Amino acid sequence: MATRIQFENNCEVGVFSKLTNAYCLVAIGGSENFYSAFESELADVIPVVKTSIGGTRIIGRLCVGNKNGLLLPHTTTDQELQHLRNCLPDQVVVQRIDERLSALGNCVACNDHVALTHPDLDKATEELIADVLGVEVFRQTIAGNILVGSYCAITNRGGLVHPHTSIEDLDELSTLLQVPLVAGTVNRGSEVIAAGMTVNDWTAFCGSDTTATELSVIESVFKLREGQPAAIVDDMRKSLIDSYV
Amino acid sequence: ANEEGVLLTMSTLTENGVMAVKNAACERLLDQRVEIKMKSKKINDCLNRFHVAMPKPRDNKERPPCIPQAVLDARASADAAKEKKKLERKLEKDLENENGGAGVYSASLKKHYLLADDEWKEDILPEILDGHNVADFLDPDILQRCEELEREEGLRLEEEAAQEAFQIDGHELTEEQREILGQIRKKKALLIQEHRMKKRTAESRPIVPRKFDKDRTFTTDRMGRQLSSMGFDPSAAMDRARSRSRGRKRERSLSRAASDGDDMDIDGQQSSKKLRALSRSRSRSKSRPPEEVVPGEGFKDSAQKKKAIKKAKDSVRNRNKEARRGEADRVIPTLKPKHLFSGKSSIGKTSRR
Repeated sequence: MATRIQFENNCEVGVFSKLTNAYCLVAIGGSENFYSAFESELADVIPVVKTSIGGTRIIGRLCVGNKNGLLLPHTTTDQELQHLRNCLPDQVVVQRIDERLSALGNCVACNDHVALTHPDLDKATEELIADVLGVEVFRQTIAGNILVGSYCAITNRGGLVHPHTSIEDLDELSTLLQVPLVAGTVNRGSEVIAAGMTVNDWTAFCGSDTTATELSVIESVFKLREGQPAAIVDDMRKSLIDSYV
Repeated sequence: ANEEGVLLTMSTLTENGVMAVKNAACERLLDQRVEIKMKSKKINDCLNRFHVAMPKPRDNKERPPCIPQAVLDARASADAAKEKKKLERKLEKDLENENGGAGVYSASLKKHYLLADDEWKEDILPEILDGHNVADFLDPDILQRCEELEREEGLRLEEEAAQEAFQIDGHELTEEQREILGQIRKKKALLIQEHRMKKRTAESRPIVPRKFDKDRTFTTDRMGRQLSSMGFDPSAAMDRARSRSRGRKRERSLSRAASDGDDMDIDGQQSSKKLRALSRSRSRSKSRPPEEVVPGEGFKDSAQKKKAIKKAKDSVRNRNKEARRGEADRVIPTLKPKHLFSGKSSIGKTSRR
């Protein structure tokens, strides 16, 4: 199910956390409220790691990972790297890569099988992503935006993309990713999807500004409850029309 | 008036039917608003958001979701799990409140390490040791990497050996091919030499017309060879060239005959002995020694003429030593030019000069 939270009065929870099917990374905050929100949902199942990357708290935008591996930018210190290796399970490969586009979370969007990358990413980095994360890599844009990692959120069950994505682009991306996709928003109309939410195959965390309609779309497309993505077209049509138009 | 009337009963006292009335009212309101918005043009901009893109299969690969069993079990028994969770789990938030609250409580980051030995959690690992970064020397797989490198080196050496064998096979030439290769290389070397010589002397070598043939390279044999290389029979041309050279010799003899003819004509016109002797002396003037006495000079014999020549030379020796042009040169130079042998004087001393 989806939960509404915020980090120190900031609703962009995807910036301060990274959630995958094998682990969860959370920024070090002044209080433990943000960490405890993840802990109460996930600590029984996967490790919830409190960490920083390069001395910053915006860990969700700096790293990219899935159940197979975690890629960190070159700004990561050796101590942070060792801390992450100590906290994560053994099958998760933790790798630091030299890439000039160091905001990896903004440049790469991936689930456990497919990844979309920034068109200007290095060839070596692309190969490293394919090796460490165990994914097929496609260079793509989303609604004309090259920061693919910011404007979409995908799991193995569904995906949410930029609200201005056309129907043709949606169908093309859906075939690439092999999951159902829908165009939507988070945090009361924000199109920066990945900054406003973080999601894996069975749970999602959104900013506290997310409206009930947006939350319904998210739960439906990611199959977090018993609902199915088709419900967006059928059951929620009237509510969506009332909200969007 | 056109709408259908709907009668719903409710009681705020017993709260029966209150939710039904609310739901009915909300649904009618929503329908009304949706109907109005469906007629406007703005809905065209949002049609993509009512579309769920379902994927088409593009390969035979399975991409299942990854949900841990614990999550599935928890879902199966939702209520029991909720109560159990509330009782057992103590969150960081609770620990924080117990230990002084936010800003005071500092959680340990090492609490949840997944290490082979839990006692290692609190070990202190230095960052800098003896001036070196410790992380630069940490590599649990170093032996494995060394083996991989050695294996790669072996593979590379094998590939190089295979490459050399392939190259050796490629260099086998037959005798005939080797000769042809030698000829080709020789010809290329000659062309290169010629080109370099031309390039070196291109500015300083004058262009000489062919007819002068200063190097004597345009020979009959060369012409024959060139005609043969062009596929012609050169014998006729060579014979013609050689006959022309014989023709020149005949022309020379003819010219000699002509000159002899001229001499005979002169003899025919004047037949005196004196004229004959004069013509003879003219014809032989260049080859006669100076002491030879020619009739008419006035000397009796060669000794006398020799003595006379000596006297003539002695008479002009002194004159030549004085740098005069001849016997008529009687110039007398200024032997003591005053203006060169006198100095300048001051005012009033003219008489002294």
